[in-house]
Amino acid sequence: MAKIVTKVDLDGDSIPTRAAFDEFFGLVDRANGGDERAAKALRPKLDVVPKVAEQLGDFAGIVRKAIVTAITGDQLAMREAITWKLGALRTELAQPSDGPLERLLVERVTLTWLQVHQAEGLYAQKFGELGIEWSDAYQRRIDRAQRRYLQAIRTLAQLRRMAVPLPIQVNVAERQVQTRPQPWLQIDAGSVASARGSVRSVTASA
Amino acid sequence: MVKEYAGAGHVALVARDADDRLRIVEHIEAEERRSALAAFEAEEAPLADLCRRTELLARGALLGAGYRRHDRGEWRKRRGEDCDEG
Repeated sequence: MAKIVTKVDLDGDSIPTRAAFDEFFGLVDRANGGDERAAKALRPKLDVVPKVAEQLGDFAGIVRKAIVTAITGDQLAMREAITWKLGALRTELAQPSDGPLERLLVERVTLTWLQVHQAEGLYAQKFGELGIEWSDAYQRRIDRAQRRYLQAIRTLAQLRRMAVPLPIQVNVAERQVQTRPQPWLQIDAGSVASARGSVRSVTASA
Repeated sequence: MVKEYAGAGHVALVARDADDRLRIVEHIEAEERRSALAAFEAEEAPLADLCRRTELLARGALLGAGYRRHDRGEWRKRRGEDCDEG
């Protein structure tokens, strides 16, 4: 597989800062361990979620490109076909109200789906020539890929079922206003894009 | 362990030398296999990393919104938790 970047750049001028990112994930770790105070402290920090999701979305794009290149090599037609299939899957799983986190989770489902097929395809190709040790390694890879795929589906389903209301941040006339989406407020990608033109910046996740 | 008598004198020295060389070759081959397997598993690292970060982010969103997961089971909203408060 081609060498790819494994680190998301959080040190640039983008928001959130590395400190905000670390603080958020520190709280998640503690809350996961049952620390109720940490869980409560996460609430006012939810505005970090859409921004980190957008950055991870960029990272996902790099990972997608690397996996597709590893599968297809120089076969451009196959590369186009796989890219098209991934796009179709994304469209199928997407919902108009999706924010950055949901879009990231959808992307994760498509990538883990692709990895399951890659792992199974490679194993099938090399089946006859593998010794016990390598055969085990390929089977373990398939197992891990399937676990990731199922977890990705489960998490997307959970988030959709819970309909987690993430903050919407709108900067109007140099003032940052944060609110939470109302049930009647549906923001799709198109409206966010057009809003970017008229408002200084909009980060939305409904 | 099975001990095999290989003789004495010069013959024994040659046999010991051959054994040493064989052990070294086996050791190198084992190292190469281990390193190839590690490289094979490392190919998944970027996607595994992405999945781990994404999972943490989603959990953070759920926890922050007042959901709790009991004993690795279903996520449920705790009684009295309301995202809009505070």
